[in-house]
This record gives sequence, C-alpha cells and structure tokens, in this order.
Amino acid sequence: MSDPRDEARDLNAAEHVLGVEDADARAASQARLRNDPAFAADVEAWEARLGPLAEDAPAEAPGAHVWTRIEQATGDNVIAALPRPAAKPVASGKGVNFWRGWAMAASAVAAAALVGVFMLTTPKMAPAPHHMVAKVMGMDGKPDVVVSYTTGTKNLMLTPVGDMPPKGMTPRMWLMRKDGSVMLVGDVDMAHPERKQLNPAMADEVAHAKGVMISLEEAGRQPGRKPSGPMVAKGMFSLV
Amino acid sequence: MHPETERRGTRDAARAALAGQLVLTGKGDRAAFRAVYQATSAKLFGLILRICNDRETAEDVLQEVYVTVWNKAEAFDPARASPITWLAAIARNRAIDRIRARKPAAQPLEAAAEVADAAPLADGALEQSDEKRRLEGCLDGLEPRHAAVIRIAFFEGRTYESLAEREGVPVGTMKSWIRRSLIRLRTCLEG
Repeated sequence: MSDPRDEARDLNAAEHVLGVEDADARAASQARLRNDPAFAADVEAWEARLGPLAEDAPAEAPGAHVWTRIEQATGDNVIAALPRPAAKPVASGKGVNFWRGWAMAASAVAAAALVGVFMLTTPKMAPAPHHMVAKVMGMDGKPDVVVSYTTGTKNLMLTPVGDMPPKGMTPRMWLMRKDGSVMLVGDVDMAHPERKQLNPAMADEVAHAKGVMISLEEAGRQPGRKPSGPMVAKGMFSLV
Repeated sequence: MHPETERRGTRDAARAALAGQLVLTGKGDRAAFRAVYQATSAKLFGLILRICNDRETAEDVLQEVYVTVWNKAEAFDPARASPITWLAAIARNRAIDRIRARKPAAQPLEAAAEVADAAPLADGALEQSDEKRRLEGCLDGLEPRHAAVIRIAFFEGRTYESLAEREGVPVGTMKSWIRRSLIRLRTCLEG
C-alpha cells in the first residue's frame, strides 16, 4: 500500500462501514459509493477489516416462512408472461397517490371512493393473510425490483436489485389492475429498499392487482394518470 | 494431525465450500443458493436482529438480504472477500438502512448492549478465523472503553449521537474516540 491515502476519504469509509453515520450522512456516503471508485475501494477494505467481528453475532434461527418468501421472490415462476399490449388509462379521477399518500390515512375523497368500492365489490370472504410477490423484470430479462406484500400486516416491500436509472430519468411504478387500467404507486428509489404500511384503500388495491410495471420518466416530471415514458419492466404477482 | 491444525483445516474447507456455493449462486444455481441460506441465515439473522431489535422487521430485512444475495452474487469475488464478510456487509447495510429510515425516538436497545460488551467466549475463540483473531488483538490494544464502543457501534448500528448519549459524553468526544480508534485499528491491522 504505497499509494498516498486520502485520509479524510478513508475515515469517511471507515465511519460508513462501522455504521455510525446519521441518515443524511449515510445517504451521502451511499451516493459517493456509486460515483467514487476510490471511496468504494476504501469501503471494501474497511469491510474486510471490521467484517470479522460479525463472527461474534449469536446465531438465531429465523422463521421458516422467510425462506419460502425468498424462494418466491427469486424464483422464475413469478416472471410475467407477456401481458396485454398497453395499459389503458385509469378510470378513476382521483389525485396522484405518491408513497406518502399510500402510507397515510386516506383523504376524504379517497374514503368516499373506498365506500364505493366496497359497495361494488361486496364481501368476498375475508381471505386468510397471504404473501404476494412480484419480480419486476426488465426487458433484458434481469430483475429490477422485487415487490412483496403481506395482506395481514399490509406491509408492502420494495427491494431494488437492478441498475441505477440513466441520469435525469426516474423509474416510476404502477399497479396493474385486473381490468387493464393502471394506478400510480410512486417513484422507485433504486438505491434503497423501502417498506410501507398501506392504508386500507391502497391495501385493497394491491391485494386485487395483477402485478406492477415500471416506466422510465424524465426526472421531476409530474406524473399523470398513466406513464408518459416507456415501460421498462414488469412483473405479475404470485401468491405464496 | 495437531487438533488446532485439524480445526483450521475444517474451517478453511467450510469457508471454501461456502465461497464456491456463492459463486454458483451467482450463476443461478438454486441448490447452491439454498445451501448458502442454510449455512448462513442464522448468523445473519442474529446480526440483523441485534440492529433492528424487532423480530418481524429483522425477518423482512433478512428476506431483502437474500434476495439481494441472489441477484448480486455474480459480483462476489472469492479472491477479494471472505464469503461471511461479504454477506455480513450486505446484512448490516440493509439493517442499518432500515433503522435509519424509522423515527430515531423508538429505539430501546438496552438489552442488546450485554452481548456487545461481552468479551468473546474462550470456547468461541477456537472457532475464530485468523482475521478475527488479528482484529481482536488490535481491539485489545485500544482503550477498553473505546473498544467497547466500537463493538456496540458495529452490533447495534448506532449513530454517533446515540453512542454519545449512551456513554454520557459529548458527540464531539465520541467522534474523536471512534475516529482515533479506527485509525489505530487500521495501523495495527496493516502492521
């Protein structure tokens, strides 16, 4: 190791690996990891230095259902067969629901709409809690995002596994409904996994959706009721 | 064969097998992926559980970790990283991301401190890798309180602020403890 070390950068890497950064500093380091190969090399070196501490972690068996979910989320059986030509516009005239909208209580308008939904689609038997998984595949056949949803807890989980979007573009996720319409989910952060607890209206939408698709939109462009950019990935839900 | 040599041989073989299974996982071999999960999930779950401090959350994170492993195993290079170090880095990253994303208020982590503070068990020391032994040797060279803080940071994923509060020292002091310790560890490990 004769090359002169950038001490500040190396210390930044050490702190990142140890995990002492707050959320903002951590996000900054994660961005730097993607853009600064020297920093990435420092991080790798620190992972090798501190990683052996993990040997002290006590072994603890996870529940058996975890492997079942992993198998579902990684299996080829959830890959979408080629779907209909193009998604039709959404029928509903509701406002845009972004992630925060999904996680928060429904607005009065949405609540009213929900009453309508309930009246139309009355009491199917309350289904036992189940787990739904969609592996969202790009056109190159590689997975971009794994979406999983547990009806009991109403937890929707997004695990990005694909490449970062091209500069100036944002991947935007849409729910594919059974009637062929789509509904905006929100922009996908390809750098971090996300988990959201859905409000009842959204939970119902997801529970009855066919799958999800991702369009590639110009960054900062306000979403409409359907994608403006090309569809770049999709995946159908399968039940676990 | 000397028992210690034999033990080391077994450990190296296990590690090589795991590295091989990870490489195969990167080529899409599902049986190998399953073997990786069976060999490592309890350890990674223990690691994640300590950071998240909640079983359900930890199981979610564990799921994310192995989905990531399946999709990123191609990038694993046995010449550059030990399989456990590579896996543990993914697990800690995902777990810390998860706790940073939630409100900082609700984190009663007192129970977790016990194990992090404890010195490694004598028996367990036999199972340690050479890298781990060297690291322990270097940690022993630090001020005991500083070494304890490094362990707590590693196992609990706490921020500088949270560590400072726990130890009852100003954040600036905590930063200088940790930074100095990290630099000393690096020097020691490279020496």
